[in-house]
Amino acid sequence: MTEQRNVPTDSLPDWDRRVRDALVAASDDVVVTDAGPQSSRIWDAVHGELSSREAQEVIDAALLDPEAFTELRLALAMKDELSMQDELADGQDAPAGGTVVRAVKPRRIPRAAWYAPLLAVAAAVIAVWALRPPPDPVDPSPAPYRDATPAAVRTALPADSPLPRAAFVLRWEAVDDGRYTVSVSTEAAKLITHVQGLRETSFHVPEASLADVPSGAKLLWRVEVVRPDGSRDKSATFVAVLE
Amino acid sequence: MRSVSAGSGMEPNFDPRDYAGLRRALSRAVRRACPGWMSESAEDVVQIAMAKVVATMDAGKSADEIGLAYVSRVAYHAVVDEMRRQRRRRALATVEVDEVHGAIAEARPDPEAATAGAQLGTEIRDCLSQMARSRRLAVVLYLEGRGATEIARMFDWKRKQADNLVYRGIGDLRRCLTDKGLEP
Repeated sequence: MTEQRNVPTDSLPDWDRRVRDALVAASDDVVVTDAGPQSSRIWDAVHGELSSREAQEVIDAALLDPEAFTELRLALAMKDELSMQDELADGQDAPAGGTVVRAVKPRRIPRAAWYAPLLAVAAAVIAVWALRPPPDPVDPSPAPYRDATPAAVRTALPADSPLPRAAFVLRWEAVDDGRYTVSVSTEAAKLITHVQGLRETSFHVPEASLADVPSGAKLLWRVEVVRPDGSRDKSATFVAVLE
Repeated sequence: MRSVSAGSGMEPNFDPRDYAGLRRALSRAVRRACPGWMSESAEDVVQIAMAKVVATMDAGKSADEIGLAYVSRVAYHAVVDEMRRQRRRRALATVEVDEVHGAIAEARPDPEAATAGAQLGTEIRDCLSQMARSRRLAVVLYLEGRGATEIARMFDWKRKQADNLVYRGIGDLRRCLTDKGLEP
């Protein structure tokens, strides 16, 4: 069970991971306490439905009780998994031909509701363009630097290029000396693999993981970077075709 | 499948397509978080939970009342109930076997290692209990894979503050374990 319960390639440093494993092992003991907070309060605390003060009290009580600690871990894991499932499902709604699948679900919004604001924006853009002042004849100053924007993870794979089954290697651009989490799923949102703590900017999806995926299938993948300061950013969902 | 965002409450119109996604997510979460002795029955537990979800949906709730946030909560409670039920049953069985044979009932692959890990975990928990609460919260959530941004959001702290609490909390924990002569 250990390999199922713990993340396979953990992003925690070794010492921290060993501490976490020991803490979890202590909660595995068959101890019945009935002393921790109610599971409904734990769920509420994890999902932001309590005030910060209440959330601190509930989670703190859960940390020190082995049975409640397991329930806290379950609530946290469910939050993660549901979010990931949500993101993968968002990706599969995108057009099949695109390289980057945007996390947008247009199916619930009536078409007419899209057209009106788009037409209004288009009209405004045309009006501004038509009324713009004439450009300066010469601009001798150097081009300004672009404003700094948060570095998101970008794919380093060429668009629409199929990847062979035996060398299905996903590649992305490095971000801030971070560690990376990669999730790969089918278009039907079946998770193929999920790895954490990668240092390198590529990941070879094992051929065995692709055994049930037919040639020509599109696989959705995304990367999350965890920077040394703990901050995180997720990429868009990318599409790779299995050759 | 729609997200269960913090404070989202009930979302209307639980889409049947979300059912399969919820089941997959629940299955992975249970395997990640459930105790080792439950590993054999993890899928059964998921099945029980999903049956409860379906029963709840069939129990007269209108479509407008049922959203993913609601059913995932139902599933969570069903898993917790099952975990508690199995924990109590095993606790009872362990006591009975210990009384008769003077032995540990659990058939773990490596009982010594498991026991050592659990003892270390108990000492770690003791160290945590001596820590300031804010550091304890930050450290344990960090060990559970939460980043400073998420920890800060959860408790309405500044990100830098959460970062600092993790750093200092880990320092406290190291010192406490060193004082106890323990090295994880």
